Amino acid sequence: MLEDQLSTSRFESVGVNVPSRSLTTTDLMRSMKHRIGLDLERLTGIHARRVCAPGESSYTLALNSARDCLSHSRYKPDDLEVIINCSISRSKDRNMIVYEPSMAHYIRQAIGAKNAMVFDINNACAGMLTGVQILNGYIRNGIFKNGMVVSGEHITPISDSATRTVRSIASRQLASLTVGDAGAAVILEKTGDRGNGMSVTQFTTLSKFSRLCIGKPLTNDIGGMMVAKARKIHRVALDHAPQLIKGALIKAGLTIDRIDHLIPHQTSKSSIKKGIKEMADHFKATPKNVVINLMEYGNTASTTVFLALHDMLKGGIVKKGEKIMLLCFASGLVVGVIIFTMDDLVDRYGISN
Amino acid sequence: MGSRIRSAAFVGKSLNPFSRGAISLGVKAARKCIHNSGIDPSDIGLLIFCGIYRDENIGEPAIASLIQSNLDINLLSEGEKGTFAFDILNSGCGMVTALHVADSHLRSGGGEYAMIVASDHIPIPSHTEGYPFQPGGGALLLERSDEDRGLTDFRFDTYPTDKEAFHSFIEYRDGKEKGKKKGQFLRFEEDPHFLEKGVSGALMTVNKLLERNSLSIDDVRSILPSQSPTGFPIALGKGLGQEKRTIDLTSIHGNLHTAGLAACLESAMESDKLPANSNLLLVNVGSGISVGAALLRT
Repeated sequence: MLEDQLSTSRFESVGVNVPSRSLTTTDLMRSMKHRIGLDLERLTGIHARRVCAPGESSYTLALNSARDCLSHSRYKPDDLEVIINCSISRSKDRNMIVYEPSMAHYIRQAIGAKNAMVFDINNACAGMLTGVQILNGYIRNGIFKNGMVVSGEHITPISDSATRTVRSIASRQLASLTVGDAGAAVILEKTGDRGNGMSVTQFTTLSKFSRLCIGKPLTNDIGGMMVAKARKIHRVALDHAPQLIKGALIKAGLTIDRIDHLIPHQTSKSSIKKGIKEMADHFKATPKNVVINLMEYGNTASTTVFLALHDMLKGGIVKKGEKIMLLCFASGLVVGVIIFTMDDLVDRYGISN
Repeated sequence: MGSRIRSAAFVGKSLNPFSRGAISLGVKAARKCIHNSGIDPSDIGLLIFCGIYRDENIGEPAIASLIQSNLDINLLSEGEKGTFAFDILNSGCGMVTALHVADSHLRSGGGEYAMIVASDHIPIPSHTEGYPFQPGGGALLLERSDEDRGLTDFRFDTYPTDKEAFHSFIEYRDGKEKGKKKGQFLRFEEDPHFLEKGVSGALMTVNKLLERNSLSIDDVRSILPSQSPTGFPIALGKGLGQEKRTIDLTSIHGNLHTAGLAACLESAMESDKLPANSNLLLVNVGSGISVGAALLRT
């Protein structure tokens, strides 16, 4: 388990980029090769998701998110000391998935971050929070003073393949129909006197369940596929998350009812609601607000929590001094918790501007 | 104060006739590394995989989690024990990058041990064209150290080129071109000057790292370089004027990719090239052109 109690970094900026094209769940289900008799929107709460148009890719979503993030930041590209790219998907254009050089290298070149060390990580849907964990460690140790964590998820090709192959509601590719494309980026900096920063970051990999979800490119056609035992994953998350969350809360000196906003990984509305009920049973209390934004975006893989945080900042929903818990569940099976106090980051977004 | 490399292990394809891919190679190297270290594997709190070419080009979960599962390390988080696993992808610089991340983690007091596994293997032979590396798996076990030795400094530089000096990608073909099958194929493109540019970048980074530490190349006992691109160990050794002190295993293992550094460390440890209080220089080069170098004080 990786824990970090004395963190000294804060979110300095948050940026996102989503494709303009929206695909409703109704239209997606109409495009299925086989009728499966499932009301996916009712089951998941997902009304629509954004889908990359020709010319958009993991790379462009990450790059535009990085630029958006910089537009809200005090830092210039050449101030950045490290860039960590965290996406599962690695499309550089419609027909190309890149392994070498790193995606972070391309972003470094495009934004002109000429002084930044760069590398990619992959930790499924926990990617961005894992990147934050790594960067937080760097900053805490004085190795770097700031850096960017970025991800562009062009993940809907797994949805495209599922529309061709899913034949029944028992299909292990069913969860692929819930995904959407999006990019997100955050800049972290040493806390100094600018805010309270992160009080706890805690991650663990329950690898007993590492084979419950496997994603890979197709061989004989374009795109990829994801095979998942979604119900089992959900059950494992419900069984193990409360204890791990409790550990993080104890280290932060908090109780769950003192969390003002819980931003969980966005899978489906019913899964999140069941998770909250389990939490209520375990803690005899719940966070003050649980954020669900999947209605218009679906599950955007590693970017979900920062897409939600960005929307909250833009909407003026989050206020200075509030406690926020970011919670991810990912293939692996990874459970990650970050707790931080919102500071003057809010001043550069939304209605407070 | 820096993290200490407690053990290193390498498994080549020749020792492993039944291995089917990168995960198998990585697991075998990790088992050997844990055995060499003598530690309780449940004390490994961090597991990083830094290979690039993996079974079926799996994108999720992290290969590290599959290796953790195969090694039977903290399958569930129980009590104070647990393991966090993820992958780093940084071309040929994956191992030094992973050392940097793991060292930061151990310095934070996040645990006693971290394991890094690097392995590469042709992913899907029927859908891979011109795979340029020899298969191999390596593993390093790091431990927290309060002594004035271990990994004492790192340096990373990027030397941009007009075009990718080394480029690997999966490309979709629609099958309309004569003689080309439909599907997604892993391909490689290498600039004929990749080696020359890589060595040039590596020399600059090494010199800056040594200068920052008030060392000269004569203060370095052994140089442990990437084992690819082809000819890199010899060319780097020549460039530094230290051919004899530069470990070149390419005649034994061929041009390994991310596991090359683990092979060098295993070789150095086994052949007693690591007397106390000597400096080792680890040098990775990769696409970008990226260079990662680290100083290891024994």
